[in-house]
Amino acid sequence: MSDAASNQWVDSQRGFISRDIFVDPKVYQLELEKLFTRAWLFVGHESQIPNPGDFFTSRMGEESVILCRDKKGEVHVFLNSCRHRGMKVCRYEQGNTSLFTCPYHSWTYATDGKLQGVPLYKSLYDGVLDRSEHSLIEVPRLVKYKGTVWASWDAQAPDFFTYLGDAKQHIDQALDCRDGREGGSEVIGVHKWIIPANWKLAAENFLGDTYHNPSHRSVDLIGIGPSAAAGVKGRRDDELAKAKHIWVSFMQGHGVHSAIAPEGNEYVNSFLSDPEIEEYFRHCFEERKRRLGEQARLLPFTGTIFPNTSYHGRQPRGLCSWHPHSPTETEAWRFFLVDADAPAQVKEYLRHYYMRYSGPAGMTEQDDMENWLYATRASMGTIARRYPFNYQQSMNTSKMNDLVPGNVSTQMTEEMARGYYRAWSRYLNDSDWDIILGRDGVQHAAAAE
Amino acid sequence: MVNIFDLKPGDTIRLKNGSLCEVVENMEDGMWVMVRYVSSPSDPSMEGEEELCHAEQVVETVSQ
Repeated sequence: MSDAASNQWVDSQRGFISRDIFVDPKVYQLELEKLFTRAWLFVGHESQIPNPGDFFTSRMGEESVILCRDKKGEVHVFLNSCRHRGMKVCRYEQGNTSLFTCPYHSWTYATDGKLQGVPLYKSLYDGVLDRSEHSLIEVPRLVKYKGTVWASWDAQAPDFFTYLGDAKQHIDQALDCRDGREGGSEVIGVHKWIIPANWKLAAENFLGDTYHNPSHRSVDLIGIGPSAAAGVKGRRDDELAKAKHIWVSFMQGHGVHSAIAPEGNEYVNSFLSDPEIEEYFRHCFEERKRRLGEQARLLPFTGTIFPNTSYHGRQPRGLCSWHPHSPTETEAWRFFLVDADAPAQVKEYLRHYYMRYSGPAGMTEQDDMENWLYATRASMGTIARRYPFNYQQSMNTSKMNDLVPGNVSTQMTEEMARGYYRAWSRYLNDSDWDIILGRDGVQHAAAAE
Repeated sequence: MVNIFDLKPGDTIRLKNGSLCEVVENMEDGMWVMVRYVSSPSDPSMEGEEELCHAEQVVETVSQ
């Protein structure tokens, strides 16, 4: 295996990861400099900015950025910082505007980023300040994909689909309509909250850490799923009960937990509390089957797109961003997705379920947060840091391209986490994109170890 | 002092440099209005031009 995929903190061959990468400020600074300045990051969703002048302030790493649709309808992502003295030019979470005006000295920028107004320009700056050279700083790489907007600060980054690789078909199913039409989702709300935990613990959890299920046992006993009012227990309805679960690791560092429905692929009741909602989803299921055929047997569960974007594919459907604040603090965002053309009754039903499950008050999310924050806290001590975390679960059981493309396991495994930290190492080791993407002729997957 | 939040398209304002301008659009950020120069004694070439005008430059509103 390439040396680029390991370093002083990551020993993915033996399955040990140093606790330092979850608590050490020096490692954290390296992540900001070498990883968040290069990787493709999820910024927001087009449904949040449908009209010219609409904006949504987002984050890339620690830095504030503005996702904006200009007067002509073009989508941009700008660093939220004035070119004069650096003050934020936008201090609202979202809205509509013609200009982004810096509150400090009033330099003002149009929605396409151009510096439009400088107070006393003629008397103080004429002939010296070139306004065309002082636009808001814009990301060099941006892509819109099925409503989602992604950006990278690295002009040399590979195109988004090369970056996504074979994880595409898994996240697609979170983004596509429930009846199999491509795209068509909208965000019906964003939860934002801060947790005293390292950002990677959340990202890692969504790679497909099925092993942590026992920590949600109390929620399962209560029952908070879509059919909870009908007496069904669990966090979600067991719509994947008959499916074959697969855990897939990808060279780029992504990892997913998906499922393959059995032949015949019959609908499993999942919304028993409301017959009309159930009928709607049954109709969507049958339509998806008709449209996609065999492809419809692949069902999404969870996944993480390296480094900090996660998704829930079905219940509760949405995207998560794990924004780093510090080695031991993360700002968590949950973007909740519905089909844009779903009936209002369906959207409202899902909205309530999403809130029961996720976000700062969501019962499942609270379990996870408790795990992540105590794991972070308990790893800060001098003695604790001498002992690495263990990632040896199901070593060497994954097979390349078994059932679906990628490094696939049909049993619970931490291979996705090992793959994630191999990718993490390549970024921190300053690897070029050929190495990060596995185009250097060296086999990187665990199967080769 | 003029509170430029109160300016509406069509209003006429006088600037510190003596120019008379018609408000074309209030940007509603409390700082900037888009104006069309009606007269500009210090720079006649500005007449008819549109430009963002900062609140600090506005002296008064002028009745037409």
